Amino acid sequence: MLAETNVNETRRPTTASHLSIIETILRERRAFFEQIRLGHDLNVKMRAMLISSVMFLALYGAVLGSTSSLWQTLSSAVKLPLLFLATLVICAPTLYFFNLIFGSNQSLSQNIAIMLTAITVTAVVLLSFAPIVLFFMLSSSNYQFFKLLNVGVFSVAGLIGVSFLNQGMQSVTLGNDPGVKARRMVVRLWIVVYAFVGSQMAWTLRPFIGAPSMEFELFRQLGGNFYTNIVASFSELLGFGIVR
Amino acid sequence: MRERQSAKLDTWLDLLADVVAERLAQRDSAAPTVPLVDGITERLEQQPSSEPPVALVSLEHETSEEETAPEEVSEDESLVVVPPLPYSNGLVLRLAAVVCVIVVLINIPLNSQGVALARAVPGVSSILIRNGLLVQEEGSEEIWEYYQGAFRHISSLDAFHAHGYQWRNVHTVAPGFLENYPKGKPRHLLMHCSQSPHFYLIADGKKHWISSLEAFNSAGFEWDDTVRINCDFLRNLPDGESIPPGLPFPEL
Repeated sequence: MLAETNVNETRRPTTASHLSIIETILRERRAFFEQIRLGHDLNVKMRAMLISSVMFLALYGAVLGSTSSLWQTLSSAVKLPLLFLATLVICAPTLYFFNLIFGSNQSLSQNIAIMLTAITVTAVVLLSFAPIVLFFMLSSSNYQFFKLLNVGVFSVAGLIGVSFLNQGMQSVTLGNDPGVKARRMVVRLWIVVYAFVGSQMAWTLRPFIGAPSMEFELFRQLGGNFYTNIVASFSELLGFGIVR
Repeated sequence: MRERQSAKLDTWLDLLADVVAERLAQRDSAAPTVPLVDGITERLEQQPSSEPPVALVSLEHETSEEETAPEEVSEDESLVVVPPLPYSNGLVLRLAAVVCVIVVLINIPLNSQGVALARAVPGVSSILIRNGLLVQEEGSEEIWEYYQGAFRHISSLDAFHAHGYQWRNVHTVAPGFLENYPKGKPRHLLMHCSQSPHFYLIADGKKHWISSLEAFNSAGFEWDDTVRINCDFLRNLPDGESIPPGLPFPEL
């Protein structure tokens, strides 16, 4: 054990070793969450998840922006990781303090580690969708369709991500104390809040794809909201109107 | 006879079980320790290829004081049986690398106009209606700008260039597209110079004197459309019809 620790101390983590955490999360999630519960190597895990998720989200952002221009490609590659991390920063205190109120004894690091797990899983699922999105990008040019396709992809990836978060929170709140039920409810409500904050953040940081009728812009003017735009996109796709 | 056979079978089974248990114990003690993620160790049992191997993740670890959770863990809880890892950890990395290479390749410009493969598929009519959108109906020469909920006609080429519009931003739309939208006041080009109080409408390469404020307002001109320029430039423009028509032009 001592020799093992020495080996780990002298070995510098590489990108590949950071990415190996993804397979650990996907294949051994119980053991992974158990280690988070015990507080084992939280910093190492969080760093690995941060690096992997930023890499994958940047890559998917670049795929999104490629439809519009080179500047949009670079901009989306920066903005997509920013979107997830900013949402995490905004929502993390709520989850942490509400858990504390209902008797949790987890540290903030443990909470953030579980949230980063969700983001990492979301990022991996997005990356796995990248070939499909690339295919549609190269074979179709309908902006509204491409936008809705990505809303669908993000929804699926987000749902899988938050299901991991839910599992993670349940794993670390194992026990018989009376606050467990309340904390589970808090997590579920927090997931709803997280989705709202995330969608509004995405709307604020848009464009990620870049509309064909518009020149590149880093941020678009505020106004409207995510949900009405999606409904309008659907109606345009089905021939009922035009997105204003 | 049958009882004797049964006893013999039991003896054989016991012997077999002893041998299997002994071998498993030997393999367990000789199994290599492989670092999984920094700080996590995995002991892989060496089992025959026909049987799926079982990995044991050891959670016996030293933890820092600040990160240690208050819960106590029993000896049994510290070992969790997990499924095997049949693939290398580089699979995700390889997928990421492939996607990265494709993104770079499809963004390499293919022609002198800088069109890359990612944007080579011709765009369809999906346009976002917002302030500043320029459209031209197919088969028409008129250019319209969307502004504050209505499309306004850009009255001349001079106005188009003077107000900073660019041809590459003009989107061709289907005939009749504009019928669905309200029309705003046309966008003109009005000029004046510092040494003269007079305003002129510029159209068809000529200047048209706007004779009074009433004429200005009744023609529907907007102060936003005025541009201040050098008087010499204005003097050199040929005279057109005054607004209203028939009035003599003043000295510039």
